[in-house]
Amino acid sequence: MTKLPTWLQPIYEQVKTEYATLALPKADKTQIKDWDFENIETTNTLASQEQINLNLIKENNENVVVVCDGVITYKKLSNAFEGAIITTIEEALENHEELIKPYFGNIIPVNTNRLTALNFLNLNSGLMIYVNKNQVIEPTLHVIYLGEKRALINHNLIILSQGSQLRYIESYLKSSQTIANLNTEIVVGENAQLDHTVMECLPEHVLTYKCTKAQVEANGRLYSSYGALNEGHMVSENFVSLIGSGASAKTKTVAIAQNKQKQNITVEVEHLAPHTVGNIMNHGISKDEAQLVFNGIGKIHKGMQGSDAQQASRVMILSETARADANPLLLIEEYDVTAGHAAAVGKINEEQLYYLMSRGLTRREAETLIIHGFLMPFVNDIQNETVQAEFTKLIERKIMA
Amino acid sequence: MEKPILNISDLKATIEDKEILKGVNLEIKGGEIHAIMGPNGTGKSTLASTVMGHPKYEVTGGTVTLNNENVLEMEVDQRARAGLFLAMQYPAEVSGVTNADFLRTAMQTKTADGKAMPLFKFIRELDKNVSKLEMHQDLPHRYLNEGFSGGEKKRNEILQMLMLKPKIAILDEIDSGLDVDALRIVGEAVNSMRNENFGCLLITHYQRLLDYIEPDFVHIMMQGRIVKSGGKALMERIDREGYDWIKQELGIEDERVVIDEETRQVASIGTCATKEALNL
Repeated sequence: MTKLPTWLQPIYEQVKTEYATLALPKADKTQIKDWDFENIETTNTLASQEQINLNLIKENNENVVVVCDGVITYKKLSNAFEGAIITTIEEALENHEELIKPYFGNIIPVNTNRLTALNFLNLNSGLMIYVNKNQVIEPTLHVIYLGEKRALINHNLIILSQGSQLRYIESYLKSSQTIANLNTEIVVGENAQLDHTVMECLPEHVLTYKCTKAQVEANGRLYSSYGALNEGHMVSENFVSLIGSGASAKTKTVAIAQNKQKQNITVEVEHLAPHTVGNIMNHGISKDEAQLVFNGIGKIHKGMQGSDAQQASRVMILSETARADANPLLLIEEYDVTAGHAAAVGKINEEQLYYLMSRGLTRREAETLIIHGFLMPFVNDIQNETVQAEFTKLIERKIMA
Repeated sequence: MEKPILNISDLKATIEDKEILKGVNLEIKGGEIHAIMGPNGTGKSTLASTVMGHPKYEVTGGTVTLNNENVLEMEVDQRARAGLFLAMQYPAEVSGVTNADFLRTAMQTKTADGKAMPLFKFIRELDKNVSKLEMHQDLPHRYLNEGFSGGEKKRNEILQMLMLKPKIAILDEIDSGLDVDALRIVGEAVNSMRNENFGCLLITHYQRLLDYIEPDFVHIMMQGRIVKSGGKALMERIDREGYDWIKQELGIEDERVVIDEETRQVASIGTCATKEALNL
């Protein structure tokens, strides 16, 4: 980022000095200390094989925004978006100080860890999306983030004012350098609703750190669907804070780890108000020599009575050499709550295979069908047919590879 | 079309090194309906699963052929494509896979050139059979057996049979969990398939089902073998007097070979609420 507003200058200076002393994110059960997250600029632009067909964005699609190297290169929105602000984070910092200041770098404090600090110091891309009070936007917004000439160091800020609604798909498709660092801060205002889909499809040479944190106010609803389909190593942290009474969050995550890839994914819902509901569902596939870790955390603080924390993590292991962990954590400091968790790691169910094969399906066909079914809850959530079709194709290719 | 003949000869099979089938002989031809009766735990379901090729059972002797082709050398899916069908006692649930998708994939594998049946024709056929079995119209869109009642699962097995049109069908305790109406509906469906190119083996320990489907042959299984065969008269005597007279006649004390046929599913559970993980 070339220019920072005056109010951010002191923070910038402070983080710059503090940065080297900050710890890496925890990434439980994955050894990440040798991963080179800091190698932001390399001299050569790496040729990348896009996993997703980029034609997807060349079509004359409505309600699509393309952000390439921090610049909006395509934007076509219907009237439904009138009044909402959709602009680059750079522009927002300059022109919308009053909107951005309470949240930017506060929902995810910039000094949370070394990588969030790194994101702040090297920021080169991102959007601010602001939806006005009681504005209900029917069509689904699809934003595509690309790092064409630079590493993708992206920071989004999504603000849904009281009573507003938005459906938003966030796709990360390209980072031409060896790293991607993706932060997203989300505010779901009182009685607002966000349907948030994230698709990460970055190529093998990209090491990804992702940190998303959503703050949900009273009676706000967050429905989040996350497809972790990168081909390189990844640490992904996804936090939801339910800060107002009656707030709820439902998160679904699917991940496919393949080849020698290591993926560490944390999903945490923190209940900071009474009568809040959190539901975490993680489904993963680990194949070849990959390692996949799911950390699911439901945390109910003292006094947050009437809350409900549920989670289920399931991982299918498709080869002898693949590994997977599912760690369900429930941290509960209040009596008057309900909570539940489930975790299972295992091979494809032999009884299911036998059943499908007894109807004439080959082993391969049966496996593919079972895996598809396993990932279905997420795919069905994508509220855009083009994206859904592209995504299904990608999953198919990854499974068959 | 060649009339199907399933021949089972001196079939022996074990599960976890315990011998269950101790030499079963049976021949089923197109146009015939056979019933195997017998008390619980005598190896009836094992016979069905072994013929279909369940991985848990190991064949230790004997042969199974379908029109002179060696069934025991085939994979499960090859057996199905050769024309065998097993309506299972406990069909698996597969989340995320709709009945319609599954059926269409299964039917596609049946066609020689691997071409899909035209969608319209498929839907018409499916609708027809769903109505015939008096199933819910939303069934094609529901996930395979997930959340189905016992009766719905059984009807779903019969639906698959009607759609896939096998040469030889084995119905393993299709009557358990069915009420009287459902029993009649399933019976009618099986009867509708009766013809020279379809042979059927019913496995049951009640006579009820046989009120609706009249078998041509009745076999009694005990101790992993067929110990007695006959016709309608045999069936009626069992209905009246039970199995004890057969045991006496043959000098059998304990007719069982299987004590517990329930299957278990294994899943590993991760660590739970480990506060240490968060340094608490």
